[in-house]
Amino acid sequence: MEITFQASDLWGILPALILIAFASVAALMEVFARPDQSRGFIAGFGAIGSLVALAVSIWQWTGIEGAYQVPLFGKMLVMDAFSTFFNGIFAVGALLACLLGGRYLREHKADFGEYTALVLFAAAGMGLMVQSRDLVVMFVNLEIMSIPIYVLSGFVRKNRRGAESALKYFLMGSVASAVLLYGVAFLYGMTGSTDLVAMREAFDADKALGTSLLVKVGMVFLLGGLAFKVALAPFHLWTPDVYDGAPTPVTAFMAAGVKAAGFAVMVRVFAVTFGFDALEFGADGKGWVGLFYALAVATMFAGNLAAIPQVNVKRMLAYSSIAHAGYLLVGIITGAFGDLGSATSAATAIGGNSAVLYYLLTYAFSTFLVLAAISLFGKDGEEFVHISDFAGFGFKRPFVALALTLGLLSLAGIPPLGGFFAKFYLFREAMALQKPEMVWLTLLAIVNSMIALYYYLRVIVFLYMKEPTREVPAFESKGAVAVMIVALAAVLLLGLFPDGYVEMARRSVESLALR
Amino acid sequence: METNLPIHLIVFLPLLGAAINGLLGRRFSWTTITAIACMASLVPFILSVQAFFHMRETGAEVLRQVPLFTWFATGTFSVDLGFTIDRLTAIFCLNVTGIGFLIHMYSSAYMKEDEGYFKFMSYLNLFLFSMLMLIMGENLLLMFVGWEGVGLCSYLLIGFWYTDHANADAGKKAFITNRIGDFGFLLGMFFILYALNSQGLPMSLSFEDLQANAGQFSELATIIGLLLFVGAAGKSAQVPLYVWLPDAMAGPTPVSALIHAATMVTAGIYMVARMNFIYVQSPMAMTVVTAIGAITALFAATMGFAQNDIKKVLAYSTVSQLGYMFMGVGVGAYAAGLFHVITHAFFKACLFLGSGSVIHALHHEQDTRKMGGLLKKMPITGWTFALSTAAIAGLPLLSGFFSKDEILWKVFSNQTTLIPGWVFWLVGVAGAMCTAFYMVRVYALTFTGTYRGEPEEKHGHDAHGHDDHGHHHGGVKYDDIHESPWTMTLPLVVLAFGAVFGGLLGLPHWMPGHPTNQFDHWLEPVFGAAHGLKFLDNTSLELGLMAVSVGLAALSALVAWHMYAGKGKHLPGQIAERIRPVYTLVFNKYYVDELYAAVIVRPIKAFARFSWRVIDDGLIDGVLVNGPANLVHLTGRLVRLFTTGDVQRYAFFVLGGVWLLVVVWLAE
Repeated sequence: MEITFQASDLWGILPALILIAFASVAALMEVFARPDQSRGFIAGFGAIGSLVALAVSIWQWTGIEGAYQVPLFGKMLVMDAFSTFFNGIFAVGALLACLLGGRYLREHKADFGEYTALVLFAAAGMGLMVQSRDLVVMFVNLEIMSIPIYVLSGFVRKNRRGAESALKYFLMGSVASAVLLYGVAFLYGMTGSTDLVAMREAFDADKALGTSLLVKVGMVFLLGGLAFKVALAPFHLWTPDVYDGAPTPVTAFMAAGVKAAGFAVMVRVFAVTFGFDALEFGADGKGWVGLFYALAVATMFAGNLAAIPQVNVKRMLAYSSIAHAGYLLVGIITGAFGDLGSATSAATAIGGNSAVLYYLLTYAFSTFLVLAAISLFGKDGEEFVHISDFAGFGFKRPFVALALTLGLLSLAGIPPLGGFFAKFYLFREAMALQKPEMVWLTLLAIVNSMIALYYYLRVIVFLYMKEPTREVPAFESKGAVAVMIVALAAVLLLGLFPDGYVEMARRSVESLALR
Repeated sequence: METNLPIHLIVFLPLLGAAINGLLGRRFSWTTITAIACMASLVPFILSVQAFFHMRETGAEVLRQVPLFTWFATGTFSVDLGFTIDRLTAIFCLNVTGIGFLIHMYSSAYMKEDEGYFKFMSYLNLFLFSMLMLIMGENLLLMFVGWEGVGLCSYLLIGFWYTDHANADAGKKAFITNRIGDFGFLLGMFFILYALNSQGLPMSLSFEDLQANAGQFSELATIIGLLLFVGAAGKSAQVPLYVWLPDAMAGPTPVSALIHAATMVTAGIYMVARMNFIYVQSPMAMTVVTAIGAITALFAATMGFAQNDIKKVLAYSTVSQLGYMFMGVGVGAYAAGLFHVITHAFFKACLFLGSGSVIHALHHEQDTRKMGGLLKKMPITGWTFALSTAAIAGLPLLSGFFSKDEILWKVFSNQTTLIPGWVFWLVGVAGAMCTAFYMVRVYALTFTGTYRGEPEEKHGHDAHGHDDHGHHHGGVKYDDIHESPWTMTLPLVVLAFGAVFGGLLGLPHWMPGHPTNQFDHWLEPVFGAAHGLKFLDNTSLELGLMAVSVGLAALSALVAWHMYAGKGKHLPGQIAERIRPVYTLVFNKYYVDELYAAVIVRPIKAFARFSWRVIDDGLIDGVLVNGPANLVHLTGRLVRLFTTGDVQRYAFFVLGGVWLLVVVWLAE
């Protein structure tokens, strides 16, 4: 393992560098700010940093033609269209989290600039994690992402549930990290490398290697660690506690950012290293497809069924995010029937995995839309997120309620919103394989989507059709309104004019195939 | 041909107007609302005129722009969202936007005091949009979208004063009756697709392709034609689906004039004319269309005899006139039928607006028994009404004379229908006699004689004022009646002008200096398929029959004048007494509504109650809906048990999960 460095490598990780720079300054700003001063300006500063990072990502994306891949730091990291796509999502996630957080923290008497710094650090970690080509570097970046998130989930210290959830998340996250690292160790032992491409080459060279016990164990452990981050059943149990206990803007950032980062790594690892041709899974049908299949079904049902009895809307959304992770697996499984490097089956791999990317993009905006509205309910460390707290709200604050409604409908997958097209694209790719097991999986996913309608629509029923039982404080926030406008526009665009974004997702996945 | 004329604007400007007034109108002043709504109808009118003259100058047969986008495409079936103007459309565009604009203007005064004014104008604009979509859509599906759109607007506007239960019911009746027709339309469309598919042709519903492929339908032409005609009969109020139109008079009078006389109700005729290439292939379908038209023409006209509500008379008259139009398009004389659409639009819109002017002046009194002598007080309204009455009665050289007699002659001379043409001709002449009679009657009752609506003394003078719109009260004193404002009378004058001179558009071939009928000539390219139809060619017979029908109608009109304006005022009562059973039958509109209620409505209601109580509440809600919901709920509670909040247990699940996966995978 030889690490080389040249100045041009810095260009490749510029979005992360910018986020880190802004984060560091934001942390210093907190130190030098007057104690009685509102920290809104720090959040604004963070928003600007996110915008700059977004602009750089767009610049990188448009600066290079087609699907590109540039190895950085002696193949430790990589800059490809895939990572740029996700850098864009993370920058937007950080932007929305900053916009949402400023006012929220003031209302909850936790107005500290570190919030901004932590959000930006986490976003930088997510970006670098997706850019990692080496599993050890990937692990380090996973921790760069995770640790700020642990802190953020307990950021409102007055809220005891928040503090408890932060500790739980940290403990469980440590377990998951250990599992993941253990898996990396196994894989290194068997292939002699932690470089994703080199590992793939090892599998290609020796077909028997892929079916050996220790590779399988290593892969499952690696998967277990990632499954924890993206909340797949049975690794999802922390999710409701943490999503509920964390400050709502952080919940949104987690649902949009951490989930996307986890899935991005999963796509990179499983589509590149453990691709269809590498382990010859297709031949005897004993690939990780079956494993993912079981995970997908378990996750969809565990999320949706547990969401139904919830009366706490944030908990309900936590379970819903689990269910969405289940749908996303359908895309990964679809992609697994093809290999990016193969001439014959690349289209399948690109189709399935790009559907995952598209889904993550719409899910990020939909979930921000919903949680931006929900973040307004609360005061002084206490959030009012019982479903009955929303009764009659539709007529008190029509715009916020409309945004919430459309966000929920998008999550439910109702046309013409983005969530509909994302599901449609995902399921279409799955059905296009014309394999009975995929038809069954899609049917199960559709049944689950129907179950999910129940709990999404129930919130809307409360918004518009129930009489309020008590007065619930809901503050006004320009930042939240800005978030809702951005997210609403994005959800509508993604639903009405999907072509351009589908093309983006496809280009991203295509770039993974390059060596 | 491709054109630079902004065709799409004609369609979308009214939509824009509807959106602005509908969404923001609540805060606008009367002036702003009026300006927006009127511009949204005037500009499309100007554009239509421009398109029309462009076509005249260049001799173009079709104007089109690139379709906006492909609406949807599934397999071989794709539908574009595009609009075209051909010669038929051009005429309808002028009719719809021209009369539409006049009625917008009229409404600005008529509805001024109504608190829902912005809503009303927004609906009118929305109606224009839908109607233009119906006539300009480049394919059958877009036509259907417009078809449904005008139905919706009609429903909204009939029930505009929805706080009155009867109005809301009338709206529902119109909507439901139209749905029956729409069902036929849809089935017809499905049959077309089926026919295309079974011939291996691309499934395109654009009129151009349909016309090109029309020959392939031969076997199915009859069934397609008849199904589409069910739709036409619903929209254009033909027997047996006419029942909604008289009730639709519950809507504000400008609506009756625009939607229920001049434009929407002629959509059925437009559709049959548009699909002429299918009808000409089926003498059976043509005969049915003609026969239904003839039956309706006479049947509705007789119902006009015994009505006392001025708008109801006009409504039955409209139904009857629509019957004539169907007779025309039924025998394949498409230009003749459409010519009557245009002339009828002038005189019937004028009659409705005239009745509206009267109703406005009398503060929502619609009963002709409480009118009389109004000509002196409302000369413009009275004279325009008189001219339009003469036009509809078929007074020679007025517009209605030319169009009606052309239809009657074509019906007589046609060689296609399975029933000989003279039968239909007789029915048509009988209907014309009835028309002349009841129209003169309603004019005489309203405008001549002495005023019969003086309020009873005890009501005092407080009856004047607009504050109680829509409610009947003691009536208006004769001395207080005055002519309507210019925004209402100007449309009357313009329309009356059209009613008198509209016939010039299509002077028949026997008029000196007119070897060909210009109107027919203009439409010729659209009806290429109908060229093969045979008609008798005998000008002296044509003139002779015309003399007979005009003479009979004139006689009938004179009798009516004698009975209601002249010395014979005792006669109506005596006659009614003499033929009491017949009179009762006619007065109650042949009990058709009661018949439908007994045969259709009540059984459906009974079935609905059964479905609701037993099937819906019991089976669906109880077993199918709540069953799975309860099951899901139960499982949900079970699944939730895993999330206990206990960290050790969570850790156990993470590690256990990993090992479970390993074991599962290895065991596989």
